Amino acid sequence: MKKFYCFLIYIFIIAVHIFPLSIKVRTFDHNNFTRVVFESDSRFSYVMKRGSERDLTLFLKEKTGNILLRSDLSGSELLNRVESVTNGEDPGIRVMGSERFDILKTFVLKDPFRVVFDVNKKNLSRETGSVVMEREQEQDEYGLDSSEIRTKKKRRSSIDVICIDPGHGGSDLGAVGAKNTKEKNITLKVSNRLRKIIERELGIRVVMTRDSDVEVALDSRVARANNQNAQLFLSIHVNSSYRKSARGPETYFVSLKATDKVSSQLAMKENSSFNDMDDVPEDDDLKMILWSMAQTEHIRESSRLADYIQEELNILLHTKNRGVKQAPFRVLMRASMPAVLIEIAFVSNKSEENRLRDDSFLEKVAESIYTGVSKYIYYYNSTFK
Amino acid sequence: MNKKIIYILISLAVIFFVTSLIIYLSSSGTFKRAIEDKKGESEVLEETVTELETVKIFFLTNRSSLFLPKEYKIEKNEDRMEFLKIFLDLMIDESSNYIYPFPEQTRLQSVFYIDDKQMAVLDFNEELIINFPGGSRGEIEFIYFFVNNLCYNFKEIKKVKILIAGNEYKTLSGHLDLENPYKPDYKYFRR
Repeated sequence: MKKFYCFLIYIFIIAVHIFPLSIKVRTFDHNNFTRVVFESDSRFSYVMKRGSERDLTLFLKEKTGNILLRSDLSGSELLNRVESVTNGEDPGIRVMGSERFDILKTFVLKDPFRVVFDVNKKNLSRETGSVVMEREQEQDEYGLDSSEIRTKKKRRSSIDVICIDPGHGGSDLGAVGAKNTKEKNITLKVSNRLRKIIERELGIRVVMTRDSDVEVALDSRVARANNQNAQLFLSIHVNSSYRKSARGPETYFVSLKATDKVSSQLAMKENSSFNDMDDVPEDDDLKMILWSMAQTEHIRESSRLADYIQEELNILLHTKNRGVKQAPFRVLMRASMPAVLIEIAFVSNKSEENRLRDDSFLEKVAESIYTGVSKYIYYYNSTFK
Repeated sequence: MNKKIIYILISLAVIFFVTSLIIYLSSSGTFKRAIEDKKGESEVLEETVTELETVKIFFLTNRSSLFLPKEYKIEKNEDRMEFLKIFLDLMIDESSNYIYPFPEQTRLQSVFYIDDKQMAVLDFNEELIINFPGGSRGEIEFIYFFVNNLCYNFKEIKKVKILIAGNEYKTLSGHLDLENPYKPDYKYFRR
């Protein structure tokens, strides 16, 4: 009998080692805080400890064996390192910051099981972006539901930081034309020109997601904008289609209609910061964690910004149709500010590729985008000041 | 030459000849037909009427920026999964003159349906992401070609999830989010 029990224990130990607990760690910078999420398919007990003001460690209780650790830290400049640690018999996960940080709050979510911490840089004023809750009564044109709880940040009195995101870069060439015109080079040229014009004419600080030919992860781009408290996000791209006749500029902002309604509701709830686990919808198929829809509260403003820019590009390229469109763009979804993606022209179209190869045309494109942005800023200042 | 060796060689030659004959007849169908003909002599053939189902597939053309419809009639199939596969074969039959919004080497590896989520999952091969030419418009055309056509023709499909080589990707070429399933957006279709 003793041998049998030993055998069972042996089997248990093997099972624990064969099937380790899988935990995924994600971090993402918002305007006024950074969120770190520990996600697992199974529930676990934990103890949180801090070794210094630059780290946060989650020790797993009643868990022997291994942790299968996966991480996606590309969304945060503050929390950018993670490692497995042990404390006696307890395995743990340590998340480390580039700077000292405070923990603002913590909560647990289910389906899937998640332990969430919101932190911010030490001594960072919490006044910027303080959150007020309000209930929207009517359904709006962007598909947001009437009873959804939405968050709104207090607006700053003027726009003083703009983030420009030149699409692609490094080994990511983007779209390539028949004459080998590379999207990554065009977007960088236009973005650098646009930056100069905005700084010179408006005296506004411009943050670039890249200013040379380097590859930048998609999530890092918007994380940088959030981290730098940018108030506008402009992602510059060049279009392409299998339909060779496709031409003209297009300006996009995020669409919620195409995504799952349940996920949108989930995103709203997560964004609105809660502790009540029973209030979470029973839908795990989208894995859409709250922050991923940070753009929801800025959709109206994004639409307006897109309109102003598109109008200018239509004049430049003699395009008749409006060209403002909605789609679930990854780089825009997590932006905590009005955000648009501008497709200057089609590199897949013969005549438009020729224009994209002309530097004077790119200068005009930058000027047109600038005019659209300055119109938005004028509107913003006259409405919100 | 030894008599015994001659007998062995003759036997091997006969075996080789008979085997070749069998292989030839079965591959050309004569053998099979001969058997079937004999079996079917006393059977009366039943005439079957095949019921057809009309589907509408929207394709990309150079005539319009919107997808344009074309009707097809497909043999009705109670097995909806089988019907879905036939439908998808029609959609990606590159022998027609339509514009297909994906690289030539793209293959649909598998398709399955998740009942409780009313979601179809399409799994493409890696060539899709390796050879995709990029562009927001290109991604929109690829995603909604599949999402809209499936949701339009199959009432039971409410959303579509796209995988590549069995994996979930963040985007196809840096634009539209691929981590979440898509619901149809018919503004790209001329209905």
